[in-house]
Amino acid sequence: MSTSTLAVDTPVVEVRDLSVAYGQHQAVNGVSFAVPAGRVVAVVGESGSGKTTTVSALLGLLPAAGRVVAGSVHVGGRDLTHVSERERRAVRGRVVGYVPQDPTVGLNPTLRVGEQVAEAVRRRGVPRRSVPAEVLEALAAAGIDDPAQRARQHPHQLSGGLRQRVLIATALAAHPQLVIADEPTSALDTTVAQKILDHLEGLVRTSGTGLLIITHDLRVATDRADEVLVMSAGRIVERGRPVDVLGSPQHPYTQRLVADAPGGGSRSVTLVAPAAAVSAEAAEAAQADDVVLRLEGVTKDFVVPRGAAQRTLRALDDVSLSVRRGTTLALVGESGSGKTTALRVAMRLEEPTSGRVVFDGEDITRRGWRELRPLRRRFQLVHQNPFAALDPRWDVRDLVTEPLHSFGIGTSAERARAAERLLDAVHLPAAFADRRPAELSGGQRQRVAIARALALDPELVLLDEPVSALDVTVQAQVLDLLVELQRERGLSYLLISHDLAVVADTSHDVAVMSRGRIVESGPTAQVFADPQATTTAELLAAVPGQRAARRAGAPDGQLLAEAAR
Amino acid sequence: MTARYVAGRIGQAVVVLWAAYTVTFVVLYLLPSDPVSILVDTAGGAKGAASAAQVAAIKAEYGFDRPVPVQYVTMLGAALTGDLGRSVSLGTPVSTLLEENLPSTLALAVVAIAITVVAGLVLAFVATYVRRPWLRTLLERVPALGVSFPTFFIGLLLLQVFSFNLRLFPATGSQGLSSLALPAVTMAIPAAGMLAQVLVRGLSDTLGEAYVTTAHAKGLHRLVVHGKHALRNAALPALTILGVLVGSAVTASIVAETIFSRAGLGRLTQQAVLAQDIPLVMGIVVVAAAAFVLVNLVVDLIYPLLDPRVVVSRLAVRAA
Repeated sequence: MSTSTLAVDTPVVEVRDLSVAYGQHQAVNGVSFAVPAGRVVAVVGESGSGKTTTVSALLGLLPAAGRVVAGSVHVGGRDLTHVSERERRAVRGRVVGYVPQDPTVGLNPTLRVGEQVAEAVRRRGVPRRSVPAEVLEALAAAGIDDPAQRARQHPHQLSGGLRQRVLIATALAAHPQLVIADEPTSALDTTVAQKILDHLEGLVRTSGTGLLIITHDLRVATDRADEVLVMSAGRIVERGRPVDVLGSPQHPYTQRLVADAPGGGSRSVTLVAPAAAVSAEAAEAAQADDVVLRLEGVTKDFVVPRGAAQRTLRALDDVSLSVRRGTTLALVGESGSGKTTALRVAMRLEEPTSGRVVFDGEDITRRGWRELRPLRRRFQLVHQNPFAALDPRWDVRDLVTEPLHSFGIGTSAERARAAERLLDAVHLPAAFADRRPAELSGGQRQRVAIARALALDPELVLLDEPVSALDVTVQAQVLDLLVELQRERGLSYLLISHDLAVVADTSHDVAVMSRGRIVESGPTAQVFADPQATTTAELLAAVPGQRAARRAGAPDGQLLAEAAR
Repeated sequence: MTARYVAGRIGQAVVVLWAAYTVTFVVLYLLPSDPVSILVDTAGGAKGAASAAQVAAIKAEYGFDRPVPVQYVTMLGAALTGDLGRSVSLGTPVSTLLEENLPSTLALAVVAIAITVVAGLVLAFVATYVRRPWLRTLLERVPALGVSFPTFFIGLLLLQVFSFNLRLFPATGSQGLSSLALPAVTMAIPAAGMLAQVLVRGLSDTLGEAYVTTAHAKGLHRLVVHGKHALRNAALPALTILGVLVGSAVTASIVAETIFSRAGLGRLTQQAVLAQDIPLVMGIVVVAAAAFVLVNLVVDLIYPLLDPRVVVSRLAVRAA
């Protein structure tokens, strides 16, 4: 850390014994930490741990209901807890820059990108004439190609990764002394997130700015931070260098976080755990020719209207894959690689342009909706976002038994009993049957969605990024549940994920997609240990948590391969 | 793409206007059991006193002796050239009557809409801007109050207070700007309430958006965040409501003009309906429909300027 010598003893931000309460609820309790210039500090914790409240206090943006009951927040030498709104505003942007969590909603949809960056540039008192040039400079510094064109565009015309870069440009444009990055990657693909975080870290280290990363992902924190703070229930329960936090976690909560991090990137360092719960016997028992679902040379073209001329977009190009009975096949790749289209074709929600879809030996490629319906009982889908997949007006009982209703199975008394059995299978208390989705946490909602998928006792379950919207600890629980259900019921899974760590924990086979083609496939352990395609290698390198592990002496890529065995 | 969007909107507006004309024609000329006798009664003379010659004259003038499709085409063709027929009760051409009465109603509508926009905007902005919870709650309740009072009651109240008690404004008449004040305010109060309700709702939602936090984190002044970032997004649904309010200003003016005895389209409508003056009613309906269509066309054309996503998403929908 060459830059750490710059000014270690002058913290940009110093939080002392901070306590924040919402009414009776104590959200932050006696938190103290400091971010020195040029250093990276990471705060790790689940949603509800108080990390977002701490950030709001740092920005002087606590909601009206929030009250600082004790302690102080010194930013740039001033105590923000006892100054006027005017002085707090002076700190925002100028002293503390903020990169929000979700780039898809963090930019104003009605204003041009350039104007939104310009607002931050003007905070420096730059003369009016040089603002446009400074805006382009800020965009270019954030790694945006062709900044002049981007500046004229509106946010909806940019990809998520580009929008995140615009937000980084905005945060840095006013030359702050500290940048707060609030879950900077959770809405992005791992490969994109990796590049963006690298870039942000580089900018911060070279300019001597402090960086405070807020994340629920211990792997992201340990990869980049000089100091890691673990928060739980409003308190900092552990702090230290990443290697120490990973290597010898003291607090039970940190130990659980380390153990739950998917992929065992960190797990193998600390616990030398017998790899994931994937049952090897099941994989062996499954005969190579007992295939539940097979795609044979599937190609899918989309027609994109563009003015008068039409353009075809090949979303899938000669894709062949098979899911063996009782095992999990993972389909991985960046967004836009064709994973979701492949899943939609497999479910026959999308008509393939050519090729065959074979379910349990039957060719269903040309089956009509009516002919296919009886078969639909045998394959079910679990969506990516459990917050959107459940109708908020229905209670859990109706939600999980809807497939039974839809196929006219059982009397209402029988269905009520089925609901109890299904909830039990996903380890939810029977009393949850009367709740509505709003009363459930993300993990509980995803359990309800899984229960619904199981209602018809299917053979194949298609899992579309089933845990990407969940906190790490909850991710581990849901993945464990899926593996357990597979073992008990002999389920077959087609799993879509961009997180190779999740794949390593759950999948027997993996197929790597890039630009509509399958570039590599085979047993997960083998593919991860010895990746042949560049896409695979890139995806593996982008899995967070590896740098810290490497620092602790583990060889690259090997960790995931071990986890997959 | 934009040219296609504009052309599409204008095309739709023309179709809507034509449909409105046709429906009115059917309702006024085809559905009454005997439009001729209504017209004869209106034209004068006691009931049943119409001579056979009168009936024949009326039939010839309005073309009732010809087949319905021919009547329709002839009238539509005449309407396109600005000839809306002749008022039965007043004997003047309908287009002349409209020309005489439209300016006064337009002036009233413009002033009323201006008051509506300013009052609705200011009320919604202030209600969501103030920090004290009790004041905020109070201000948020005001729009509902404005909406729930009937127009005629507001009109009579204003008349009593400002005209009879305070003697600030004339109670009746069409002359001068001061005569506009009370009827315009009468029309504006419920409209502003409705607009403010939608805006308050939109602003409250928008202020919770992530990009508002981003704007605050840049260190922008609250007024800037509120006015530039939040209001622009919140204005989108309000713009639709404003379109409806402007379009229905003609209807709203009927009540206001009646209460304050103002000359104008509203009072002309009242007279036309009472006198069962079919050609005049038809002309007024066409004008009202045209106003509605025109305003909504303008709203549709302004929308993409405020929300750059509109054109793209509508085209995408069509492509899907």
